[in-house]
Amino acid sequence: MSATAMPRLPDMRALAGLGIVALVAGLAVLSVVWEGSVGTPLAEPGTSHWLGTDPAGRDLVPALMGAASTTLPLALFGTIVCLFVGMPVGVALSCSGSAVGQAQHPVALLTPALLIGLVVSGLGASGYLTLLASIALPGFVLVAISTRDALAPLWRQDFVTSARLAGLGTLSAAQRHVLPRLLPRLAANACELLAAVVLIEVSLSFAGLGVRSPGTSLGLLLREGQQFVTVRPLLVIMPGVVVVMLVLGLLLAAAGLRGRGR
Amino acid sequence: MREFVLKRLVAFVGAVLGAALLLFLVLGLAGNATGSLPERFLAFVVGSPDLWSRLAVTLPLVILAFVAAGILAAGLRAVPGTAKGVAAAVAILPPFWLGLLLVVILAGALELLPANGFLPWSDPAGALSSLVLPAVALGIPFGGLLALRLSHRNRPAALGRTFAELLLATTLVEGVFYLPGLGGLVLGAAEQRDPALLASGLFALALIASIGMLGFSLLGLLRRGERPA
Repeated sequence: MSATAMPRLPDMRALAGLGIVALVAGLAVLSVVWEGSVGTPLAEPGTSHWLGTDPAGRDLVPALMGAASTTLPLALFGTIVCLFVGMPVGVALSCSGSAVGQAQHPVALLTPALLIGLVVSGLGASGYLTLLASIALPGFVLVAISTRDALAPLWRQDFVTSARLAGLGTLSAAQRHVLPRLLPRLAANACELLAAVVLIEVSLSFAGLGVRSPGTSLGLLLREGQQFVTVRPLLVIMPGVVVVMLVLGLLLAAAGLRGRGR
Repeated sequence: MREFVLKRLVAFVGAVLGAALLLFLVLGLAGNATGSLPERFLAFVVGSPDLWSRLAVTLPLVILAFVAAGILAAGLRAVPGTAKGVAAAVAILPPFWLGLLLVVILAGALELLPANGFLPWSDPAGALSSLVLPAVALGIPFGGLLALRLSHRNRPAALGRTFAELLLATTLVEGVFYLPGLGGLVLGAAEQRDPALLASGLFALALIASIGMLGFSLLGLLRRGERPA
């Protein structure tokens, strides 16, 4: 294992991306122990409140951290549901060796999610059910397709064939030769899916279809800050900055894990 | 050539009828509207006059935003090297957040354009100027997405698909600028749990999206026809 000079650059991207994500996640975890003080509503940024306070008088910094501590677990849960349902289907599809489609940008998931969210919410579903349906349905399809596309070419490669000819069973061939080569790519897919799911939560909660008022989330913070946009711009700027940082960090990590060529 | 056009037309009619049937079965029947089944289906397809008057806002907005997206995509594709990464990064920016940022920067600080509200088309310059900010907010992320997609083989499909996605994204952006458009109606219907109105609104959006996709595929045919095959 001496020829490791090549993947140095991708590793940096993965590290930087995961670092950003870890920073946001760490701050979110910290919000469990630090609730922040309650001052006058809509206070200006100053020494006692770095970013000012929200309409309820809560300091914006812990409010942001609290919102991230709802959005992140929610998005993680949605992503894990998609992975658990989608990956077995993708593996099954890959055995039949069907054609490989072209890679999609994760925001392609937003449109079907929004459409499903509108319909499910219009039928009277609660906010969390709407979120789950609009994340799980398109997400599951995406995971199945991307898993199939990652797996299908590998089954036909020489080293797999020769390993199987040498007497290795299907499962052990998969374990020894297919999985190690696949793991970075699957992890990259998962990162992209998580990024898309964060965007879905933010979009739906901003539209009033996802997380609603007694709860908190990054999308809901944007929605609540909207009416004060000309008075206290930070109330809408900061939640968006957190979202963009999180999503860009995840995409950077995915690009790094995937390697140089997309 | 004739076969291609015929195929596209059949796909278009199929998509519109399919959308109508699906929306009516899922949403149109869920409401508590009265009347026989054909009457209700007719009411669902025709929609309310208010719905069609809202098109005067949404349709120009989508066209303007798509032009903005096209300009940005062309610009991004003209720059080699890192442009692909930039396009991928730009594509994730939520358009409604960009809209709020534009309100803060342009309308709030510089007092350049009307921040919100829609001036009727009797004052064309005013109406257009109230659509500029939302069109830019939509055009930036979708321009990035378009730049990525245009490198694929099937350009008309990429254009049509991005157009349809942009159309649905207006539902989130119109509210930011207090525009009385179709998107606001759809979003309001979903929030207030009015399945019948939601079905009519979504059908109108599906109709526009299908027309756009048909238009782009026929345009692609024209461009292909210019070259001697």
